[in-house]
Amino acid sequence: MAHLILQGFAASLSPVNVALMALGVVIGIVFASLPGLTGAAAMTMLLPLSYGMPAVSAVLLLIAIWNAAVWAGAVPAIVMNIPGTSAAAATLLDGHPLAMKGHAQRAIRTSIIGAFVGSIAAAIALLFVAPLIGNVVIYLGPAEIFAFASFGLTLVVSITRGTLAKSIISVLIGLFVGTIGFAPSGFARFVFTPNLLSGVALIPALIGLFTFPELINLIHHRRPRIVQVEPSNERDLFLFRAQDWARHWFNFVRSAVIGVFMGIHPGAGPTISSFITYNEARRVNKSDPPFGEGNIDGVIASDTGANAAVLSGLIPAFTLGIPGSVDTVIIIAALTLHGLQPGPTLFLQHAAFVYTIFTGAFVANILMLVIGLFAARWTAKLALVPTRFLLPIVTVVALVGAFAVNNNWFDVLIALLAGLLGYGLRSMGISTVPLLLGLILGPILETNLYQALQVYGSIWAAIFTRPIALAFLLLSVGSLVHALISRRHHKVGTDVV
Amino acid sequence: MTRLGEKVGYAAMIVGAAVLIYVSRSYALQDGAYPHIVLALLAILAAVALYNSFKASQQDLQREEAATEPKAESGAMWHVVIYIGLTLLFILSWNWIGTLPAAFLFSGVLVVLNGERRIWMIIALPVLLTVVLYVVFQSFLYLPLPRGFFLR
Repeated sequence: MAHLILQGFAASLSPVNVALMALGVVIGIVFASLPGLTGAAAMTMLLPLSYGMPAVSAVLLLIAIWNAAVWAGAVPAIVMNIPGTSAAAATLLDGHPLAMKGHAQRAIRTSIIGAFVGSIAAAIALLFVAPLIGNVVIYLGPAEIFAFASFGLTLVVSITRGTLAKSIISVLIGLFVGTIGFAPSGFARFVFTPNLLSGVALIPALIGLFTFPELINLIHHRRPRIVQVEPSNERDLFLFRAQDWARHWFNFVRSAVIGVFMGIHPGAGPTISSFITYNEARRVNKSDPPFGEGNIDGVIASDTGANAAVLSGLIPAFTLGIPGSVDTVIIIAALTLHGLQPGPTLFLQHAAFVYTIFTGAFVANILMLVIGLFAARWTAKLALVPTRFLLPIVTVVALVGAFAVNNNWFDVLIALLAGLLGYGLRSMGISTVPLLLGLILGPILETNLYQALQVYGSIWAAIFTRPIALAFLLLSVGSLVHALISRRHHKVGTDVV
Repeated sequence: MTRLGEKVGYAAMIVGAAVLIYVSRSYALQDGAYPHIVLALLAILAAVALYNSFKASQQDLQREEAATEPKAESGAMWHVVIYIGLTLLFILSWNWIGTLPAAFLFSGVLVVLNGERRIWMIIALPVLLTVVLYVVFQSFLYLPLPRGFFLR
């Protein structure tokens, strides 16, 4: 195995592969920073071009884009309170308050270091435990995925500020919107126009929910935008000193381990992972300022957790051929495009290829760290763009981005309607973050519940014969009860994100 | 938002959930049970929140308002209405004059409405934005942006 790892490093460090991965990192950062454009869009766009490259180069390019895009979604979340990706919705909870206090650069730099640590943990898991974990994943079925999704929903309810009832209302609206379109049985529900047959598109809804309320707030309240970032002559050494690592190392490690575990499980992915790791950090951490008001540990946890779930998503994809997300589907497509079949035989027949990809993940992460740190100073300054310029630029780019997802004009209307809904809810003191999670997890929840009922006959049989599912459902109940008790004991503020 | 606005919001949720349950009453159990449970829970929680908002004392109201958002400037609501109206007009105009010309006009109007008075900036920003949209979305991503009647 050692010689395969060394061979892998030698191949992934070839000038062509390094240049392609650096290009992938830049593309991933640019795409995730623009509302509406995602890493998956960039990967899809470059997939046909990758056909002309060697298989290793093609897959490394796609992985570099994916990994960088999941991190870079945090940049607009921190600077503008608009998450570039759904996984970055957890980052804005503390990242944006930090930026509002004039620490945008520190928050961005912390998020990139968190993403780097998470990605390195996932790369280690890829390298050393992928074949072992692959054997375990095969035993996780719809009951477990249903339980994971339930846990994700209760966690987001418990971590959102405001009353419990308001958070649950937000989740329920998201769950309902997620039922629009085809039911798991194939029946079309709440389809008032043919454009809704495939449901409400996630990215346009995400753009609307987070972009328009923020822009309307700027106009309505003439809210003071961020007026300063860290002075460029004063070097902020946070996370460059040993004492900071001594204080935060456990948060990094815990978030990375949870993120890797969540990434391995198909269907969980970076979004659920970032919320779970954020909640764990919030539960343990009692330092000032409180979570939700600019605690740096919130940024560390969410970004470490999100990126740890990216590369670890390759474990079931490579070992079993099970894609856990759209991004892994694209990578599997790239493999098959080059005549490679994902699954256990991939390790036996193409071991050199597999280990080059796994070691290349380390190189892609280092490139992401270097480019991300280099860009942090300039991306933080986006916070200083005056409202009169920001408003037209963000509105136009967001709406064209909403169109870009499916080349569908109706999605642009969806974005505007979601924006008005988001503004109305925020005005009522209801956060839109649980709504987003409800929209993402609703179809996963219902489909897996439906499948579990088909397989086990009843919900009780599905739960009580599957200990992992039972454990996560108990954790879901515990998380709700804990949220209820903690809200009764401590008056929770009414700020919303 | 005023207390009245909040009450209207919760009432709209209750009515909306009831209407959606009514229009989907003919769905088979396997297709209708899950959304009906979600909508029923939403209606119940919205009713509880509505009741609480009636029950809340004036003192609670003042404390909450102080904690949530700064007071809007007078006339700011009109700015919001104009912004939403212009955005809707922008979206609708894609199919008439095309996305890129619409983006040029829309961004120019927004820059002026938000207080920019320097002529070169009023022209430069829409031009730059339109060029970026053309290069990124149309030339690089081959996105078939609506071209409107004129360019068809």
